[in-house]
Amino acid sequence: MTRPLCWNRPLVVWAARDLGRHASTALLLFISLSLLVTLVMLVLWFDQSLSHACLLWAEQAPDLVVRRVTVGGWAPLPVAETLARVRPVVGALRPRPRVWGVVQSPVGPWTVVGLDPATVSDWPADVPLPRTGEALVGTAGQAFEPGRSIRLEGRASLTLNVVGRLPLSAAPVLHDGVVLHVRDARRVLGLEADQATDLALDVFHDDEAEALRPDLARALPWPVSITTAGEQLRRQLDDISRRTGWLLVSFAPALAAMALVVATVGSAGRRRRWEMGLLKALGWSGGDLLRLHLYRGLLIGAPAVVLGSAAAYLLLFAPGADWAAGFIFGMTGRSLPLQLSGQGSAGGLLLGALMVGMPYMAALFWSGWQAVVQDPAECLAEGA
Amino acid sequence: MNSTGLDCRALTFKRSDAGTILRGVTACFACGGASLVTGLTGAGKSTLLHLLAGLLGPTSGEIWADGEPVSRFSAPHRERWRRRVGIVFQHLHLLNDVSLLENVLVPCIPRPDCWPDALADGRRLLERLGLGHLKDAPPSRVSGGERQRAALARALIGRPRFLLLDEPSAFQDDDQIDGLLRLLAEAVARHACVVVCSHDPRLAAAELFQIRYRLTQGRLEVCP
Repeated sequence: MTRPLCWNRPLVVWAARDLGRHASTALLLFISLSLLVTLVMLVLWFDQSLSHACLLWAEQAPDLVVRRVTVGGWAPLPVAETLARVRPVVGALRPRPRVWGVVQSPVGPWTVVGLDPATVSDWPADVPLPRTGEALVGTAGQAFEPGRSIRLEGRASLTLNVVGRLPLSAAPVLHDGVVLHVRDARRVLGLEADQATDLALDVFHDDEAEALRPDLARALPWPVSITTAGEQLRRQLDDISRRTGWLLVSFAPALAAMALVVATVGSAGRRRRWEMGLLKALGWSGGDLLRLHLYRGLLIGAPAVVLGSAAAYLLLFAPGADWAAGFIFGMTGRSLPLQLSGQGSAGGLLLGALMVGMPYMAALFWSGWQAVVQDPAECLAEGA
Repeated sequence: MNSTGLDCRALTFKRSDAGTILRGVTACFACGGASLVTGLTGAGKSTLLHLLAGLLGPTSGEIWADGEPVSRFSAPHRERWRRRVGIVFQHLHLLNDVSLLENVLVPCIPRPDCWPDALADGRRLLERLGLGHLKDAPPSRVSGGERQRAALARALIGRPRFLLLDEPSAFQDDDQIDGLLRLLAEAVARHACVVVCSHDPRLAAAELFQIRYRLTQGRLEVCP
C-alpha cells in the first residue's frame, strides 16, 4: 500500500498521458496560467526592484531639505541669508542651496535642475558639464539627440542645445528631467541670482535629522517646511505600494476565473465523472485519484510558473523592454536602471505563490476531492 | 467464520426506481473454484457482480471476503480491498482514446506491487488473447469481441484474488471461448475465486464451473 501523497512515477507518467488526451484544454490552461503568472510577477518584481532602487537612491539623497513656504505655496530662499542663519545650527552639515523646478518641455512637464560647475565635485568623466545655453537630458528624453535644441517654457522661455544625456544611474527625479547651468535654471524658473528653490543639509547621524527640525525652524525667520530623507523614502515606498497594490487587486477577477476554470476542467463533465468511477472500480483509491489530479495540475502549473516568471523577468529587465514602467507608473522613454535584490526576488516569488499558487492549488484540491467522494457505481451508470 | 472466497449472507438489494432486485441471496463462491451464475436478462446478474466487487452496497445482508466483512467496510477501506478484484463489465468500460495495452495497464498504475511486471504481463495477456498485433490500437478501432478480450486482459492483470466476469463470452467465437476458459482455469489453479455471470449456453456446458447458480426473481438457486 502506498502513502496517499507520495511520489509515484507511473502515476506521474499517466498524469502526463492524461494531459495529452485532453491537449487543447491543458494547453489553454497552461497559456492562461502562464499569462497570469507573468502579470502578477511583473507587478510584484517591479514593486520590489523599484523599492530597492528607492532605498539605494535614498542613501545618496540629503538628510534634510528645507523649503520656504508662504500662504501662496512655495517661495524662493535667499541663499546668502539662509546660509548665514543655518551654518551656526549645531549638527547641520554641508548646507547647499539647490535650484530646481518643473517647466514645460516639448514632450510634457519636465524637472529642471540647476548645476553650478564651480561646486560640482564628483561628476562622471564621460558626461559633459552643461555650460550656459546647454542642457543634459534625462533618460526619458530619447527624442533629443545631442546637437539638437530644446525649448523650455517656465516663468521665461529658453532654448538650449542638448549636449548629452544623463547616465542611467542618475537619480530617478531626473528620469524625465533636464540639467542646466544654474544661471539658465534660475532664468527659466523665474528666480533671482541670489535665490534657490530649497536648501539641502546633511547630518552626522540619521537620527539627528528629526531632532534638528525645531532648531532649523527657529534659525530661519520665515515659515519653512523641513523634510527628512526617511519621510521622503516612506512617501515614495507608500506610493509604489499603493499603485502596485491596486493593480494586483485588479487581477482578482482573473485569479478567480483561473481557479474556476481549474475546478471546472478537473471535475465536471459526464465523461470525466465516468472515468473517475471506472478507475475506482478498477482498484484506484481516492488517494490515487487525488494524486493523479495534483500531478496533472503540477505538470501544467510548474512549467507555467517557470515560463511566466521568466517572461516577467525578461519583460522587466531585458534591455529594450521599457513598457512595464510605462504601463504601471506612466513612465516614458528608456526604463530606469532597476535591479532585483535576492530578498526582493524571493519576496516576489513568495507573494506570487500566495496570489496565484494558493487559488490554483485550492481549485485543484477541490476538484480532486470531488473525484474522491464520487460513488463509482453511479459514475459508471452515468457513462454506460 | 473464516472461509476463503466470497460469502453472501441474506443479501438483499433494492433500487428506488426498479424495486427489489435481489432477495435474501445466500451463497458462497469459494477460492480455487469457478462459479457460473445464469439467469434471464434483467434478473440481477450484473447487480450481484457489482455487489460482490464492492461497487454497490447491499440494502440488507452482508458480503464477506476471505473472512472479512467487505460490505461493512468504510469507503476508503473498500477502495483498497478492491485492488484484489478483477472485473469485466457487461458494457466493458474501456477508455476509447488510449491503446488496448494502456487500457490493460490501468489497474496497475497506482500499485507499486503490480507495476514492475505490468508491461510484460499486459503484453503477454494480449498475446494469449490474440490481441498482440492490436496492442497499440485504440478500442474504437477494434471489433466488439476484441474489445471484450481486452477487458478480460485488464481484469486478469495483477493476478486478482477475486475475478468477476459479466457476460465475458457475448462476442466470442468457440475458439476464443476455449482460450477464455483456459485463462479462467489458470486463475482457479492459483486459487482465485472466479464468478462468471452469463446466459451463454457454451459456458453453461463448460466443465470448469463446479457450481452453477440460477438467478430467478431475485433469488439465487443452485442448479443441479
